[in-house]
Amino acid sequence: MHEVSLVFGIRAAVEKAARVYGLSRVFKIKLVVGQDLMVLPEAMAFAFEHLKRAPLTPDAVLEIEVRPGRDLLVENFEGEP
Amino acid sequence: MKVKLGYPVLQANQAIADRNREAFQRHFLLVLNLMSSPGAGKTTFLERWIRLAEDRLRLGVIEGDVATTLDAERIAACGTEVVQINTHGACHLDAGMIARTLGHFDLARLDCLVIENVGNLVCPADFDLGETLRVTLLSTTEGADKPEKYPAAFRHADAVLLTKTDLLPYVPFDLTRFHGTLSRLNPDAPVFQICALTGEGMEQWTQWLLSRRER
Ligand SMILES: Nc1nc2c(ncn2[C@@H]2O[C@H](COP(=O)(O)OP(=O)(O)OP(=O)(O)O)[C@@H](O)[C@H]2O)c(=O)[nH]1
Ligand SMILES: [Mg+2]
Repeated sequence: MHEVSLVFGIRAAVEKAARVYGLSRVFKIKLVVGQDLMVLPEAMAFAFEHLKRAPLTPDAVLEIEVRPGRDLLVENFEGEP
Repeated sequence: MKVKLGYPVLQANQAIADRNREAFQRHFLLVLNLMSSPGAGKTTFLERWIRLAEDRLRLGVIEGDVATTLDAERIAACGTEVVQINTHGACHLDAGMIARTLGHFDLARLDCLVIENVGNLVCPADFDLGETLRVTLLSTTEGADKPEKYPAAFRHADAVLLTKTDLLPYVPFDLTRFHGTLSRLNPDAPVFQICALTGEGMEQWTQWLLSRRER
């Protein structure tokens, strides 16, 4: 249920990094979600769709990999200047 | 262009939780994070426990709820210092909310700060507040299968309280299954059977807590 606040944090981190790398369009974010966390990938994807804004493009995708453990990481993102 | 980031999303909360924990340790303060589903009996447990413990521990309480100050009023009626946090919809407390309330307490004059988290067996488990001990409550009316169904809240608990034991004769609660699951999920956590109406189990719980304080 706290996926919305997590997506805010993810978006803020990617926005900042995109600025540093001079990327104005981001079209993919790769996220790692630990299995032991109470984080639902479906709810994450839903929140992502609703919170998308520049530099994320309207069709930007959130790729989620579920792994054992309690990590929640933005592993990488893809974009262009 | 692909940018490798490795950004830990929960780190923002973790950094604040670590700072809270340092402040607590500086004041030799034992901080409890109470977690359970809504209505498992957290506030009623506190009301009863305060009466028993207040001459042994100087207590403060932080109440977390989506809305209302009802729980804080109940604690204030016991004569205990209390601050209410309203999350306005959020399903859990986070470390920042706790940090912002600490100014209301004179930490140097407290021995134990109890944080009653928002009633929710799922989300609070992911958010470290800086607490010393995580305490998960389950009431007998919820069913003995709940630790299997909501493992995170039980797996990472330092102690588990089974509440409303006065109702055991009236509800089909399988104690063997409950204890069996917990000893698999979290063999190190002690389990206390508590009744807030009669005070059953409160003394054992208090003794355990005092022993943790001396470490
Ligand atoms: N029979 C019985 N009822 C209890 C006991 N402890 C609490 N209750 C009842 O359970 C209900 C919920 O108790 P609360 O203490 O408000 O529960 P809570 O966990 O603080 O609830 P939230 O803060 O809303 O999540 C109340 O009606 C209490 O009177 C107990 O030991 N025995
Ligand atoms: Mg309550």
